[in-house]
Amino acid sequence: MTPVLRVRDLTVSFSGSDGAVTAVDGLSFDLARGEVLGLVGESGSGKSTVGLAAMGLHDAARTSVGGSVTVGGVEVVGAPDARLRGLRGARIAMVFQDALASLSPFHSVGEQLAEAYRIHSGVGRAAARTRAADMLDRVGIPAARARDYPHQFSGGMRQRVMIGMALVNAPDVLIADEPTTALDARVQRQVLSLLAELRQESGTAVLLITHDVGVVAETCDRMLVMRGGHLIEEGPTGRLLTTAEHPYTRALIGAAPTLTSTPGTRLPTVPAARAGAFLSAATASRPAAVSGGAGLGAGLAGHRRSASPGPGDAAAGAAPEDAARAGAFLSAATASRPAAVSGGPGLGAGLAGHRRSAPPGPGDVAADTTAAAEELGASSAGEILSAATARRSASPGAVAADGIVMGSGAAEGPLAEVVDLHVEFGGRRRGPWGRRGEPVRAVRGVGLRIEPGETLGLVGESGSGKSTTARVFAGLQRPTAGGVRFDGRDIARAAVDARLRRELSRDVQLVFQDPYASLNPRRTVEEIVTTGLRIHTDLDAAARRARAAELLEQVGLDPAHLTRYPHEFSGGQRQRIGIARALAPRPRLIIADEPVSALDVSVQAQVLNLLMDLRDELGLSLLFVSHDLAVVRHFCDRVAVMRAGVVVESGPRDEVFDEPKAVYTRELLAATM
Amino acid sequence: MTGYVFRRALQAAAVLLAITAAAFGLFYAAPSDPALIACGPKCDTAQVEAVRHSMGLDQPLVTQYTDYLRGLVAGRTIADVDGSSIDCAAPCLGYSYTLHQPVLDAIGDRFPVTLSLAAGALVVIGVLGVGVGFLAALRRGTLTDRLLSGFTLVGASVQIYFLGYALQYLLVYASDLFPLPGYSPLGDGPGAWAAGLLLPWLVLGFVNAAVFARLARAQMLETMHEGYVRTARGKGLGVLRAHLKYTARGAAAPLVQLLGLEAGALFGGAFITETVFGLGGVGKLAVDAVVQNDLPTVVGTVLLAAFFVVVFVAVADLVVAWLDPRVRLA
Repeated sequence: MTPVLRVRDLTVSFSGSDGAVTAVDGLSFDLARGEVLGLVGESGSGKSTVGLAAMGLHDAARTSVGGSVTVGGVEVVGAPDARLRGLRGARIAMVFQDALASLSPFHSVGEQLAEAYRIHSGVGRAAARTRAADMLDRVGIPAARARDYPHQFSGGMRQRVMIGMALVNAPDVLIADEPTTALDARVQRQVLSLLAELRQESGTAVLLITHDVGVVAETCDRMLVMRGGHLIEEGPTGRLLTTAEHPYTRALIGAAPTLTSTPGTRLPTVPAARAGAFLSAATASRPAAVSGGAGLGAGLAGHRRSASPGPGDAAAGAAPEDAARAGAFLSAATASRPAAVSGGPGLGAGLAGHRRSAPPGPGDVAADTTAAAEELGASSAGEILSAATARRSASPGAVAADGIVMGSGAAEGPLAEVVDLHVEFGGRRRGPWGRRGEPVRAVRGVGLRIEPGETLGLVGESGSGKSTTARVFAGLQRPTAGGVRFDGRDIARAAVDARLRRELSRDVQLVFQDPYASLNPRRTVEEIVTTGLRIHTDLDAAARRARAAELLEQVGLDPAHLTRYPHEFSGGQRQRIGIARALAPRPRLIIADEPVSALDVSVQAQVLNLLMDLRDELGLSLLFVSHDLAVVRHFCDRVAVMRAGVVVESGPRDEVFDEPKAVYTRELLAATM
Repeated sequence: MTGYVFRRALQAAAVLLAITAAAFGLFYAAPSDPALIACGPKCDTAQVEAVRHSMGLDQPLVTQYTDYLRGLVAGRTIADVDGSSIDCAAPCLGYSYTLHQPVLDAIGDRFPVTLSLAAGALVVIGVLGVGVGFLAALRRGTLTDRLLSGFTLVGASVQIYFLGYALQYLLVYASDLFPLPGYSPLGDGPGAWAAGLLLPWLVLGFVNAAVFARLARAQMLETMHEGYVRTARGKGLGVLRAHLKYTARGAAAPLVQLLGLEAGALFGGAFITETVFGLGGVGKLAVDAVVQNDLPTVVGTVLLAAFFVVVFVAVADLVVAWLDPRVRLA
């Protein structure tokens, strides 16, 4: 049987001001009738370019397309626009990632669907309207809403409209370019199952372009892996997921934490191909840096070393490709990780010069064991630490009950907490003669606490109020009602009191989602990293510079790059700069709002590994806000699940993930791929 | 929608009230003496004072202002220099002692000229400006684009009085290609009306179209890469249809708002064009009034110009809201 989409030796290059860039290089594949083929790759792999080339939508003035693409036997490459118009929308259609941007804001969804049908069927307006209403109904949108505009729909419904529009002419081929990437997990699952249903009804073959291996695993018979414009590997999904031949495929599949991976383990990273070479080297060398072990005290002299006694030795020297295997050892190490975090034997000393003030609590617990550890010798240090860990995992109260003296003079209790937090937006008069609007109640009675040295994961879908809550913790949002304290101090007024906010920002720092938007493009890395130092310390320029260099090294960047500007770095490197900036004033709490959601999976793995290392070294407390349950499960000690401004469930990680009590938590877990 | 119109009307009234107050303040602050001007150079002091009294200029400023506002709403009776009283119906903009007629009548006599000139020029601006910008954007980077962009740059840099006189000489006196510019009422036949205004329309339109062409081109280029244009092409629409139906609509909002401002300005009078082509419109009336210290006429024409700007800006906002359903009228 002839394939409905046949790609042979496809090469696409863009001509720019500094020469041509080849986005796709010699790609060949077939898509059989009714098949679902996954095209997987990270940003810059050329996967979206393939989709546009199949539609013949590249701008001929600036793009040169070579090779051959045939849709149902009709050649697309080099075809005149008149011939392509007959194919597009009728034989081959496309669904894009961002449905809001891809649907016309000026026309109702009914009109847009009807137009797609009319172009190719030639029926009258009334018939097209009827067909559009039927199709909307089929994708789960009441026909009565056909007159509504895209901005009046939710993200999931907009994507349904897109899918309905693409399939209205029952095309042979559907190109779905990241169709569910911007959607929440539950909506993503609904949209994918709708796509599967419609596909079976119409017999349309689907080329599913995505970065998400989880989506491919759920939906595709066969997958292609692309990198840097080249086809790396292809084969049945099942085989590639389990026994891929190419190390890149294996790394890509292993890089994203899943709901079954071992929490806290080092995630395998992808060996770098191009620019970020030294970055990956830095990351890859980390397992080796774990060589703390016996010579723990010595190991800690270098402030970057993360102290994982015992098993660390096993991991030491492991090649990056073996990281997955090393992970098995590391998972053992992980159990003892939190102990090492808060200061293993000698760690207190090692960190003395490094941390402004050791967090009170468990750190001191471990510190108290130092003498014993020294006597017992390094080999048994791990056991002691494990014991300490067990205590750390328990509540601070339990630690105190064990009779261990809390070294800190500060009041015990959480590092930061919100009590019965309410945040409302709006509700103000609209214009001088307007009515008073109903306020949006973003947060309704949330109580959360972050213990010293702990990582609290705040999970929820978009609109759940998780970011607003994080902003309250950061002192950037004033609560409408309820209390917020940091280190026992009331910080509710920080959002309106510049002095209080400034004092708070010494101890509480933020890491943002978008590493492109959150760094000032007109400042050098040095300026970006040292701003907090200028505000909070009286270090002179040379000392600030030295500290900035130290910070860059700490986050795995070359200190020689201090004079560079953000645009000279990749997304992952920029996020490292953002982390270095946050670390500069030696904060006690870091609030990270979706710090890895904008990154490719392999880069996400690197940044998560870095954050885990830094947490271990510096004894940081973290508030980690994310929509991604697998990442939260991997990274956090305790988890709170938010929905519609309310915490529906919270507790230790294993409790929430292994025995979820709230129905909503179970739904979220079920939807996670 | 009704609420929006109501709020917009209140807003317009507030703006116009502020403008009358400012113009009235200027009336008083001006160093010239309206009574002396109205009376004429041969009057003696007693006569000037008599005139001043009959004009109400010896009343307190607030009284005069409230009288003026009352006249706007309800009409009033005004005394002429010779003591005869003139009935000035609402909306009474005052009485011109230079022209010896109510200001509203003076404006009304000349307004058809201004209206004809502005309407035609706006059509030229819309068609030429948007058309050239659209075409340049579609052919970006090509010779066509460079030629059109150069052409608009000429329009942006040339002065009406130069272009107007030059074209009038070349096309009318030297070659007879165009009919002699001048105003003949539309009621006397549309042919003569259009023929007389053809050259003024083209000159006024061309000079103003330059800004529109450049803005339209930039807007089009920006909108061309929107996702919804790509989707339209993906449905099977041709390049031109996709750009006409989707890109143009996405690019329209700033153009409509600029056109609203332009319309408001042109309806208030186009003095230079009127002067160059010898058309007696509101622009010429206003400038003559300034030169002759005819303050009631100055205030009246200023108020009229402000009225049109306020109205057309509001209309432009309505059009933008109609074009883009995401825009909420507030």
